[in-house]
Amino acid sequence: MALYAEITEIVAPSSAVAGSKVDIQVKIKNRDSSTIGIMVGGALDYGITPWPSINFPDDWDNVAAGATKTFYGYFTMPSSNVKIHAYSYWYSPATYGWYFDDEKTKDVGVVAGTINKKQLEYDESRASIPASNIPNDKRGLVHVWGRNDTSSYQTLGIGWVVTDPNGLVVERHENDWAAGWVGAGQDREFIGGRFNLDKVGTYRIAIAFYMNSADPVEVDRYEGTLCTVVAAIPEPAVSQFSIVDYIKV
Amino acid sequence: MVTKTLDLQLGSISALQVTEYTTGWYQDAVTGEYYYYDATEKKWYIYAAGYLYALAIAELSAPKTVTVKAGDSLKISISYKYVGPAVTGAEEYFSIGYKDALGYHPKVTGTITRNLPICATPTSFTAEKTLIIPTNVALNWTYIECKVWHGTPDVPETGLRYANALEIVGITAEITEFSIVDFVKV
Repeated sequence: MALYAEITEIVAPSSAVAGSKVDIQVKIKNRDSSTIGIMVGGALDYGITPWPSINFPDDWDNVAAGATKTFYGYFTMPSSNVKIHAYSYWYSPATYGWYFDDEKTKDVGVVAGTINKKQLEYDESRASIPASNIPNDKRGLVHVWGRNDTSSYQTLGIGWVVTDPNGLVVERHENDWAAGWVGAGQDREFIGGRFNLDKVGTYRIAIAFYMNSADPVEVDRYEGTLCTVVAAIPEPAVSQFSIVDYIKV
Repeated sequence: MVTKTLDLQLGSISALQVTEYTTGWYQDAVTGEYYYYDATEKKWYIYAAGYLYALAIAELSAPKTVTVKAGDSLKISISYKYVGPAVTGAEEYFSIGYKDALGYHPKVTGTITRNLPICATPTSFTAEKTLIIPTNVALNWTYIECKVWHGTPDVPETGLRYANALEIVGITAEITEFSIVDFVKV
């Protein structure tokens, strides 16, 4: 139980992508009857020593009696799950010193995934994305595979938007989560809806791959060409056949 | 549907003058079969069981008759429009022949093999071939037939046959322009 500086809450995502910046908040309440100096500190526990510190640009403040101060901090997500340890301290004007008071923890799971395959199905054919020279009399269907690159089970989700050469949205595929938990190293296929590839030019796609359906985190992204569409070459056909002339020579 | 009566004997649209026909439906007066003519594409279609089927070889009355005899050379010129992928080994076919109850029988033929380029829109092609009338020519070799077909991928057979395009002469013994040029005392 805290004496003066009680940590009431640690706000942090439940998961984060390895290597990404993770923003956190530590809320500390002054339980004293007068204004006191309160300081925050923090460290990350993920199997290495000493524990790396959490960076708080403004790590102390004078907090009024009964008030709660929110301290903002951040760290870089390591490639494994971490336990955030947050600490509070109070300042003694009598001794001119800081005194440890409270500690709370919160877990952040690491997520890592890859869009490992992308295909465009057009009628009976398939091509890897970006595809080229697709006849403009076809209908497209996007297939995307996402892989769990973590060492634990994850939920995998995806969303994408396809635009035609004029920039108009022709398919919006959102909030598609694979059923159940996906094991380490496994992937799942996501299939969209059909759309017309009837305009000559470049179709584009933006794909975002997510993990953690409870608190989605984008783990991979592709933005670029879906395919180039060209005028379809019709089946061989002859028309306007005529015998122009026949003469004795 | 406006239907006009086609004044021909079925199996030979010989009474047709193609330049006189406009786009529309025609009915054979004898058999009652329906035909459709597309004047733009210059194509005949036969109507059967609710569908139109293109006639690969339309037979028309020849716009002119050329008189030939054995040993003569006949130069035939054709034109057509092609649309589709590149084709290797398409064949332009030219023939002289006759027709009976069993159909058309080519007797003198000539071909030109052509590689057609990829054509996204109908593209014009022309060709000509000279055929030599052989010594065994018969009087009934009055037809010429030309078409485009074959190749990889396959070009659908498309062509035209002219009836009464030729008049064969010089087969039966015949003396013409006989005259007594002069008679004098010698």
